[in-house]
Parts: sequence; structure tokens; C-alpha cells
Amino acid sequence: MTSGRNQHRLPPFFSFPYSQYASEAWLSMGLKTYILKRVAMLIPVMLGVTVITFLLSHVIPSNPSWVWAGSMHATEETIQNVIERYHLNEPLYVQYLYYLSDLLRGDLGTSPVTNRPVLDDLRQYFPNTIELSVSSLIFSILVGIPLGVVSATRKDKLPDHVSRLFSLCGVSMPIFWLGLLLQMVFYYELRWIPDPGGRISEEILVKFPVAHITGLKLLDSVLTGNWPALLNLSVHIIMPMICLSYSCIALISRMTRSAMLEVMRADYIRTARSTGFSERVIIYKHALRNALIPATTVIGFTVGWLLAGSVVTESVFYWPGIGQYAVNAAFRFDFPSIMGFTVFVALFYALASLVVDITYAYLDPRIRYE
Amino acid sequence: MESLLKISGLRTYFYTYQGVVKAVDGVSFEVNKNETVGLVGETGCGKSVTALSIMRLIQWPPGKIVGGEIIFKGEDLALKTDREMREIRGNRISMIFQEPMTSLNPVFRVGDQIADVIVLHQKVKRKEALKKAVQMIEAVNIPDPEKVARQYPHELSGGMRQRIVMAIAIACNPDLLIADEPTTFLDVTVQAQILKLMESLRNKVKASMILITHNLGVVAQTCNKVMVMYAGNVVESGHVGKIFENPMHPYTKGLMNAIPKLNEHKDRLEVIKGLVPNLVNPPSGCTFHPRCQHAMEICSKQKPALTEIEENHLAGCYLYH
Amino acid sequence: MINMKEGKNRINRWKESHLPQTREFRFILHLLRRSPLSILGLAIVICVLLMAILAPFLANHDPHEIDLQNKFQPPNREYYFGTDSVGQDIYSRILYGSRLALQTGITVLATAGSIGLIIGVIAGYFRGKIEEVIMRITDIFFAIPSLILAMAVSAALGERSLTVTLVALSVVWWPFYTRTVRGVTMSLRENQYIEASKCIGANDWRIIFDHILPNTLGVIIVQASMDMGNVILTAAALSFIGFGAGPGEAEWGRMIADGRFYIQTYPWMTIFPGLAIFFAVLGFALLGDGLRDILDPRLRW
Repeated sequence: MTSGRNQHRLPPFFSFPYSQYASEAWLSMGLKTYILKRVAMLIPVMLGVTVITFLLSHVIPSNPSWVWAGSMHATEETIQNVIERYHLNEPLYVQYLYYLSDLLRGDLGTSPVTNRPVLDDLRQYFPNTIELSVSSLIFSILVGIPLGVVSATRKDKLPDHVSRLFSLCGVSMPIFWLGLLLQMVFYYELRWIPDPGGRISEEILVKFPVAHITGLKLLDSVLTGNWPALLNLSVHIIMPMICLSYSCIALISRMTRSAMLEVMRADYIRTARSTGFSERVIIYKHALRNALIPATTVIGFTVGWLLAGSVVTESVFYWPGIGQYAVNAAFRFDFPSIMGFTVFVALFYALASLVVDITYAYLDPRIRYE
Repeated sequence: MESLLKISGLRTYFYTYQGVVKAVDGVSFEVNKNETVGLVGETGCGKSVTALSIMRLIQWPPGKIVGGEIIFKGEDLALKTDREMREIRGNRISMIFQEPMTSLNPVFRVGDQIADVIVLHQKVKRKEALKKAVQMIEAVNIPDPEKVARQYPHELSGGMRQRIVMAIAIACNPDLLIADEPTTFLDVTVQAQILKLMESLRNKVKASMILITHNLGVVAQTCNKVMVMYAGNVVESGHVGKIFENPMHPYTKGLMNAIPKLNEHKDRLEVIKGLVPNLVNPPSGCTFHPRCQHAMEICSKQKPALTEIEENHLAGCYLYH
Repeated sequence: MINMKEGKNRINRWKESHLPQTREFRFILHLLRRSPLSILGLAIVICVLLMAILAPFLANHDPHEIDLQNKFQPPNREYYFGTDSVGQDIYSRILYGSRLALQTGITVLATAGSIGLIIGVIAGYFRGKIEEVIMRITDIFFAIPSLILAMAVSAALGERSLTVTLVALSVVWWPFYTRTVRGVTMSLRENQYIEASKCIGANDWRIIFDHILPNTLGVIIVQASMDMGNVILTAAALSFIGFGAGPGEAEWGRMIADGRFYIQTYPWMTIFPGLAIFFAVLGFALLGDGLRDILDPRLRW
């Protein structure tokens, strides 16, 4: 084993797993090489994704140049420009190389509708999607895991049945329908929220504009002490967040429940009981810690689900994120934007999965030593 | 000899879809201070369930202790609340289970797992508990205890894991140690080491031990007293020498005969005819009577009580009434 | 739950005297009885199937009949669920929509399942380089979230139609089945009867057809019943965004999109199609859960 305990001072969070030796976990050889290995595996997968998007954007369409030039809005001139710009007359592998080099330089194409580079559009709308997705993720985890634990420990009793019913409804309901219903009830009927959607009310935008520090409006308004804006922003984010989270809570609680049931039958839980720990300690320390491991894989899947769900949720709530952007692009037959959006989301999802994998390795020491 | 644990008429039933499984149906025995008692029998005869009943670890549903007394140091464990039992488990009575590979929590380091138990029962600070944990690891003959304490269970071999389980069991100096087939999943050489270790630990801590096994050789090596169980009942019990020299109950005799001996010349191994009974519908009267060569009419009507045949030797059979 | 009466003893004796298959069947019935939710799921699925099959008999209007005089009617005796913006009867459209939903689901799962079966068995049985390549390819597909990949494929194919949706969803779903089948194949392969078959000279393909394929079918069916709901949801989402069914087609997702802007004034246009989707998906989810619980031997005590 490596460094002495006093060599590195880490924030208290890292000693959370009840061990005085936990600070060493972060630095141990096993975790570091695991991270490196995972990053190395990411690269061929991303290359593969670019191959797929290349096939979808350059090979499958029956008339790529026409589609890239904007379909309906294409003129002879724009089509010629497009052919030159994207080298559509060259053999396929050459096209792919140009495609790849463009991607690496950050050029995701230009939207024939807005005439702006796709990446710029995405960069503008992305922070809003991040805010919505991250809030939903945190909310889902904070609600989903305890719900799953309660469901598992009171199996077949009323809380279990209620929460299972709730989960089932969550995975069965189309999000866009749920969103519309929420809109209908809370805005049109009850008037509890000021707008049917959107990020921030007109008047607040004018009177208390939010400074642009990170691009994440909630964070920015906190940093600048802009409380009216913060309140308004929070009110606007609640509905889409609940809508987006519902299915995630369902997924996470189902997985936590089945993982807990599985773990509670394990031999080491029997050992823990035989050494005199109370049921509560066994559930929340011995069992949950183990159940979190498969739950983390579900959380990884949830991230992808949130990205996909943002597409419809943002559309329903007029949320200015990349999902809304993609839906508008689809509506206007803006092909480069859709493809650029796809590549962007895939890359982001891959990075998020990497973070989830690392968390998984941190939680499960057996993985690190493969 | 002072009595440490006295069980009378213990009955533990399991209520399942297929009926009531009478896993333990009237078991009585006594464990004195500083002695090793062996609990022998085939798979399914109720040895583990007896041990779990002593610790009150039988889960309801589907299992429940329906009758009997478990007197430990003057108190009836069958009547205690769960909170009171928690103070006893791991503290005054410890248990070692049979599968070392899966008995330890995979996400916590081994030293932490021992220290947790010490902190729970002895109310010391964590630092001190960790130091004591390292001492425990040393006591179970694991080299380089400081390093091992920082390792995870999957980094240790089966034998080492079993030793850690033992370290957890003796960490709080228990009065009674229950070992449920501690060596079944280990190979023979490791088995010998573990048995020797258990004996020395027991002596050091001055605990009594109940050793559950189906291996008669192990019993002969380590136990002072033996209890032979069959289908939820104790059929013979007494001093180990007496039982091995002079088995009384037909079942015990069958077991002894089935062991191949070096000094005997045989062409075929002896078997006990028949199969272990279904505990949902056990045979009436003496549970062994369908397989017994000496079965009499009364055997199928009434269960024989354990009667003393000679000093320190009891058998439950109508042959000796 | 605990039944100690005479009846139980009688059943026990009856069971002892019957064939193992009958006992197994009885046991499965018992498990089903203990799980009323699975029965509910089965009932709902059967309901949806009947809706689809009997649509022409149950509908009281032509789903595509435009009747501008009766547009935006609230639910009444003539139009059970009301009418939409061009006077089409929502009730009849929902009935015919169930056909589209089931067709989409079954076609997608059959296609994805078949592709996944073949590729998965090859990957799981032959291992080695081929398996590596196939797994990397499925990883690449998994790197793009389902709905987004479906959108991209639909956009690439150009047209906006349900056929395009079918293709797009098949492209999205085949990796899931490949992975599942590969897992099952890998564990089956380790069984000793496979080794025994090899010892008596069976070649690989024979082993695959006789031993491995039949056992994978069970897994595929359970997974398909659980996935059916997701396929229906994703197809509806695609139609909602505008990729799948065209305007006027009686597809549930499309109907919600059509009703979206009238939600304040004529909410029945969105409520009923959504309920239909919810109902169908719920049924499949319950059924899938139940099937999985039954086929998982560890959950039986």
C-alpha cells in the first residue's frame, strides 16, 4: 500500500464511508488505473459514434447535399456551397476524414435555417438543459433511493404497494402527456405558476436581469444575490423538473428496492445480525452501501434517459434548452442541426457515463482490481 | 461443572407454502463452562436451525420458535426482546458461519468490520477499536496484521477470511462460541489449522464452544461432549469417548459403521437404509423408526425420551428403556 | 398467506400424486394468485389486444371521417370521448390507434429480437475477437440515448411516416437483445451438457440450434414483454415531436400533439389518447414484471 495517511488532506466527504483508511482509497493505485483504463475505452466508442452519425448524415439520406442545404429552402447555389464545404463529391472514406476533422475542430456544421454554426446554437442553449437535467437528477436520487429502501424494508405492506404502484405509473406514463397535464392543472386551472413554461417571466427578465457568469441561471442569480430572479427561476423550473423526474424516481426506486431485497438476503447481512447490530444500522449502513452499487448503474442509465426526456419536456414547457432546439430543428427540416445535436448529446452522455463508472468503482472495491 | 447454556424442549417450526416444517422438534441439551460440544448430524437434521434459535436469528416469516426454553447464564433467551438479544449477540454469544467467502461485507475493509463490532459493544473510541482489531487479526495468526486490516475481503483467501470471521467472533470475549460447519468449505490442511486455532482461541478467551459439523473426525478431535441429531431431535448425547467407543442409538451406530476404518477389511461401505424424512410430514413416534433395523411397535407410536444409560451418556431409544 | 387448513393437506397429497409438469403448472398458478398485479397486467394486455382486433366492431364512427360541423365536441353520447379540431371521433381513433401501437411494438420487437438473437448467440457462443467486435458495436449504440438515436435515424431516412419509425426503433432496440442473448448464451455454454454434446461429436451449429436457442427464447419473451411498453412510449414520443405518424393519422402520440394547443379549452383531445397510452404501457409493464417474477427461481420460497 502506498502513501501515509498524513500526506494528503482531503475534504471530510472522503472519509464518509466510515473508514479511517478511506482517504487512501482515492489515491490508491487501483482507482487511478481504473480511471485511466475507462478513459482509454471511451475513445474508440466515441469514434464509433462518429461513424454512426457519419453514416446517418452522409450515407443514408437519399440526397445528402439537398438535405444539408436545407431541403425545402435549398437553392442551386446553397446546394453547390454545401457540396464544396462538406466535400460531398469525394469518396466516402475521404468524406469521413473531413467529417471527423471538422468534429475535432468543433465544427458541427452550419444550420441552413439560422445560418449559424450549430455548435454556437448548442452552446447557447445547453446551460439551460444542464440546469434542468441536473436538478432533476438530484431530485430523483434524493426521492428515489429512500423510497426504494422503504419499499424493500416494508415489503408487501402498504408503503410497498403504494410506492410500487407509483413507480409503475411513473414508467408507464408518457412524459409529454404528464407535462401537458401538469400545465393544464397548475397553470390553466389553478394559476399557481405564472407562465405555461419558459425559463423566466418577462417582467423579471426586464427588471432583474440575471448576470451571465457561468451561464447557469440559478447559480448566477445566487452568486449575484439576485433573489427576485432566483425565486422566479425556481418557480419556473419546478414543473418541468417534476415532469422529468417522475420516471427517473420510478426507475431508481424500483432498482433500489430490488437491490436491497437481494442484498438483505446475503450472508454478510446474516453475519452483521449475528454480531448484534440493530436492524436500522444494518439497513442503512451494511445493506444500502451494497445496494447502491447496482443502483448506480441505473443512475447512469437515468442520465441518458434525462437527456432523451429533455427533448420532449423542453418542448412541452417551452424551456430554451437543446431539446427544444432539436425539436424546432426537426420541425423546420434543419438536418445539420439534428445531426450536430446527436453528436453533442452522445459525447456528453459518454462523459457522464464515465463519471458514473468512476463512482461505481469507488463504491465497489472489487471492480478496481480487475 | 457449571452450566452455561441449558436448552429444554426447543421447538422451531417453519411455516411454508408446502406445510409446516418441523425443523427442530423437542431438542434438549446442556453446555457447561469451558467445554466444546459437538452437534453432529446429516444435512437437514436441524443443527443449524438449533444454533440460529439460540441466537434468536430465526426470521419470521417463515420461521418461529414455538416452544422450549433457552437458559443462558440463568436467563431465558426465548423470552428476551430483540433489543436485549442484540446486546448478547456478538458480545456474550458469537457465531461463525459456514461460508467464509461470503460472510464478510465486500465494501468495507476487514479491519473496519472488526472495529465496528468492538465499538458497538464496548463503547470505545474508533482509534482504539482499530488498534484492538489489529490485535485480533494477530491473534488469529494472520501475518502482517496492519496491512491486512486495510484490505478488502475479496483480497483475502478463504482461510484468511474464515480467520477474520473468527476474529470478529472473539473480539468482545464472548462466553459462548457457536461454529456452524466452520471447515466444510475449506481444504483439509487449512481445516486442521483452523481447528487448532479455534481451540487455542477458546482457551485464551475461556469460552465454551458448540461445534456443528457432519464430520465425525472433527468431533473426535476437538469435542468433549457430543450431541447426535436426527430429523429435528437429539437421539444420543454424552461424553465423546463413550459415544465413539459404545454408540447406543441405532442411528449413531449406523454413522459409526459408515466411516471407513484403516484397521478393518471391508468390501463395501455400510449404509443406513432409506432416506432422510420429509420434515413436513415426519414419521410418527421416533423419527428414525422407518429406517431402523430394531424397530418395535412402540417406536411408531411414541417418541422416546432421552434416558441416561450410563454416566454422561444418554440415548433416546426404546431398546434401552 | 399462511394456510394450515385441511384443504392445504389435500392439495399437497394431490400434488404428490401428479406429474411434475402439473405440479409446476399449479405452482405457477399459485404464484399468479399471490400477485394480483400480474393478473391485472394480463387482463389489460388482453383488453388492448381485443381493442385492436375488434376495432371495426367497437368503433361507432370512421376514424378518418372529417366532419367540420361537429368539431371540438366535448364527450357526449354520440362521441364518447369528444371530437378533435376537424370533427373526427376521438373514441374511434383511439381504438384504431391501438392497432398502430401494437403493430409498431410487435414489429419492432420481432425485428430487434431476431437480429439480437442471431448476433447475440454468435457473440456469446464463439467468444473471442468476434465477441469483442460485436460488443464494441453495441456499446456504440448504447452511447446514444434511445429517443435521440431514433430521431437521428428518422431524420436521416427523410420521410415522416410510421414505417420510418419502425425502422428507427428497430435500429435502437437490437443492441439490447444482443446483449441479453449473449449473456444467456455465455452462461448456457458453460453447462456440462454442452460439453457432453461436444463429446459425442455434435458440431457447433447443432448445439446452437438444439440447446442454446430454445433456452434463449424464454429470456427474449420476458424482455420483450417488459420492453413493449417502452417501444410504445418511444413511438408515441416520436410522433409527438413530428417524426412518426403524419397529420390526421390515428396514432396516439400524434393525437396528443394535435390536441396540445387546445389543452386549455378542449382538454379531452389530449387526455384520452394519453390515458390510452398509459393504460397499454401499464398493462405490459405489470405483465412483464409478473412474468419475470415467475421465471426467477430464487423468488420462490
